[in-house]
Amino acid sequence: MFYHISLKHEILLHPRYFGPNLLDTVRQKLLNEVEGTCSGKYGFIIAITTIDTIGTGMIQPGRGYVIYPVEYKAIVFRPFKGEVLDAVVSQVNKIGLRCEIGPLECFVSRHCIPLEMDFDPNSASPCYKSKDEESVIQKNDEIRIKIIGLRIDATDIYAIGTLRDDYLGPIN
Amino acid sequence: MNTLKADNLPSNYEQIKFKEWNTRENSLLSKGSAIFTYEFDCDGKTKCEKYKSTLNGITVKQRLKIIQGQVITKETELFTYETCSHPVKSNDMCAICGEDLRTKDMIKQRVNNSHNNESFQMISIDPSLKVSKDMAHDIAKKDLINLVKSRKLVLLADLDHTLIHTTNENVSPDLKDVFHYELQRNYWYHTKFRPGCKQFLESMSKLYELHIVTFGERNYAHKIASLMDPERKFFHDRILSRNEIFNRISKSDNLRSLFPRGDLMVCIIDDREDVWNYARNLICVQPYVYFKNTGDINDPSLFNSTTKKRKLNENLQVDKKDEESQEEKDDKKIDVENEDTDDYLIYLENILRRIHDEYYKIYESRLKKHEKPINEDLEIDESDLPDVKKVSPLIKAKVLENCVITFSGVVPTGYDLRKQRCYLMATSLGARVNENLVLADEESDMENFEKKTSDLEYNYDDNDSSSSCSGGTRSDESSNSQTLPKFTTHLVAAKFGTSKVHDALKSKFPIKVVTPEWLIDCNYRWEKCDEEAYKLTKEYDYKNCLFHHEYNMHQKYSVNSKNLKMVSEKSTKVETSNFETKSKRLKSDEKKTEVEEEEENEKIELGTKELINEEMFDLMDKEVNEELSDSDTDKVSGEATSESEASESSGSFDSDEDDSLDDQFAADLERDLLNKNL
Repeated sequence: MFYHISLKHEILLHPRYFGPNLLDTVRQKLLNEVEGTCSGKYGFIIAITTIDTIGTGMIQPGRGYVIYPVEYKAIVFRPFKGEVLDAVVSQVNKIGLRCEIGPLECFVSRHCIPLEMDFDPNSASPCYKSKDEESVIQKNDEIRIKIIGLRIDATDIYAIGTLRDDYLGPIN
Repeated sequence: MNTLKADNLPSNYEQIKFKEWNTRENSLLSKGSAIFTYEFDCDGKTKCEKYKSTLNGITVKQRLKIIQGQVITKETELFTYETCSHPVKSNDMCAICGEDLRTKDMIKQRVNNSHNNESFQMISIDPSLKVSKDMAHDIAKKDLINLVKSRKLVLLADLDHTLIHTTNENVSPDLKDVFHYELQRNYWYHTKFRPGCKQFLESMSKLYELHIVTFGERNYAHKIASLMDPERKFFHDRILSRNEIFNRISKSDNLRSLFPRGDLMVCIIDDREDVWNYARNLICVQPYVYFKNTGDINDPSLFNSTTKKRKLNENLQVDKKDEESQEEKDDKKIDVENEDTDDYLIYLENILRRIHDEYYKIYESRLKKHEKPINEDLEIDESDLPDVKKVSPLIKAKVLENCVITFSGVVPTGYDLRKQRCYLMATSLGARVNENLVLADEESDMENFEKKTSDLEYNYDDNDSSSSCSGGTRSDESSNSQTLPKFTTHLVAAKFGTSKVHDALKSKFPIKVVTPEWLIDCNYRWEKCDEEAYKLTKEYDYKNCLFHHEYNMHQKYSVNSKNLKMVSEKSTKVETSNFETKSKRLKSDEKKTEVEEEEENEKIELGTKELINEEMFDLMDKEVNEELSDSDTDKVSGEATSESEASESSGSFDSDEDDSLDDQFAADLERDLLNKNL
């Protein structure tokens, strides 16, 4: 699920940036440091929408570096157990398939792929397909999955998905 | 099978009535998912609530009969269920029920302190995916069936020196057919494919399921794969690189994980036998060298050690100088072969084709014997499948089957001939080795020899084959041994002036006097090379010959790896029989051998002598005894070589093993010390 939330971050700046473009540097640095990262608490930080305040910088004693506390708003992607999401298949093998939901990696095991879809190792690219070849899942296909398990580490989130439910599977 | 009760119902209401199910049979429930809806009265109003699961990862097997409106208490049984055994794990999460197994698993792993035996990493590209034993066997069975249906075998192919040659050194950018690419910043790789590589892969992919197994790093392996196979049609994702290989110096540990049902159908091509523990299904290919003075950039013995790398570079520089001085005479290029005339892949393709054809010929003949239809897709009985490890030595043993070889000047005096690489090479090719030159003194011998038929059938003898078949094999074998000539047909000589060479040239019947390269090339190509091309001349210099280096190198490898293997095997045996003190001692010995090996690689042989314990020698002697006699008995049953010869040799091993091996070790050590001093 996506959220638009306020977050805080501290920017550590080298003294060589002290000059007319100081605040631009701070903004730039914030984008570099924050966008695309993942925190266990809020999920993946997709994009910063606004930078609300850049606090007063504090010079670090004995070093000359400055710390700016920054408050900003960002769009974050936080997956939940039971959530239904659209994913792109990145790898297909005999144990299951791996797919990507933007930054989130998800594995769907063979047990969670509908029974009527079977693994076909002989085709040009390995795929799961039903006997009548009506539905096929292969690399780079779009599928709709449901998350059944999540592991949330401090800096990474990893998911397990299933296709065995209503309205899940390849998206046409 | 367990039964779930509705024991989590709220206790503050009476008359809770069942409304409807929210689950189906054979569906998976996780914690918090709804099982059924119930109704109850609350302040005179009827309310609906959902009863939710308290357990995670259970599969509903059979719902018990509950009708709408039935009163439910905490004792009401709902359905039978099975808990998830977590057979597939991805990143330490169960891939079926989604449970996080990290906390439990971490503790277990620390206790086991190694990758536990219960999980298999079946997908070479994705090591985080682990499969339980039962599941792995199921999947592997499906793989086997699929292979048999498509009449394919598995081929594990090495990259460096087998299919390609890569260097990090500067090469001129306008070389033909050389790929230049950068994997890390400012670290350029230059790769040349072996001539005919694409055609080779193309035609082999019809007979084999191709895998890459390399000690190169993952991005290197994938880069090569994408260059070699841009559409990913040969290898798909079957790439096993250093990042996924369990053992630092051996590739064979991964086999069990990739092929949980055994490597019956696996064939291997590699330029190094030691990394596969001298497996029988390995075809040792002629190393491909295009960039001169560049060794294997992914040599396993060079890992984690910069000093070793430096050493190697020094060695290489010495070689380079040698080569340069040689090169300067004819042409002033130093970096690459002037013309890439390597045509080995044609031979290799031929070998692999023969193995494949023979394998399925045996398989089909077995089906016929058991009166099973050949083209039936449904049932494939694993016991009908032959083993490549047995088929391929059989084919190899046909190569020189009517030859009797005598060596001259190849094996240093004082060494036991039967343990030398050239001897093993010759016998594995089916030749008979005579220690002394035996001249044909009767015309009849010669006639017999000429009459011989060469279209003997392969005798594939396996444990489960019927008694009548094995009986037949025996008789064939004995007739085969009769047709073998008693006199020497080939003299493999390293120097021109030896008395054996002299005698051979004087002999009434033409004995082919050839250089050791003849044997090596026969061994690489699996065919009897034309002897004329390898005729021994006066100018022939053994020291400059490939065989001389290779022979030394291989011997070193073989001695080392054998030591290690033997000691470790022994130590595990002892450990199981609870001789703790002894095992401790053996372990320390093992460490010493490892130390020894490393140092030997670095050419610091001095001082290793003290490290080697007398006791270890005894141990190794025994092991060698066992191993060699084992392999000989195998030969009797499996190969079509002369039975009498094999039994004779195994007999002699039993008698004079201990002394001779001690001698050999002493000789080895002396030689090493000498090298050092020089």
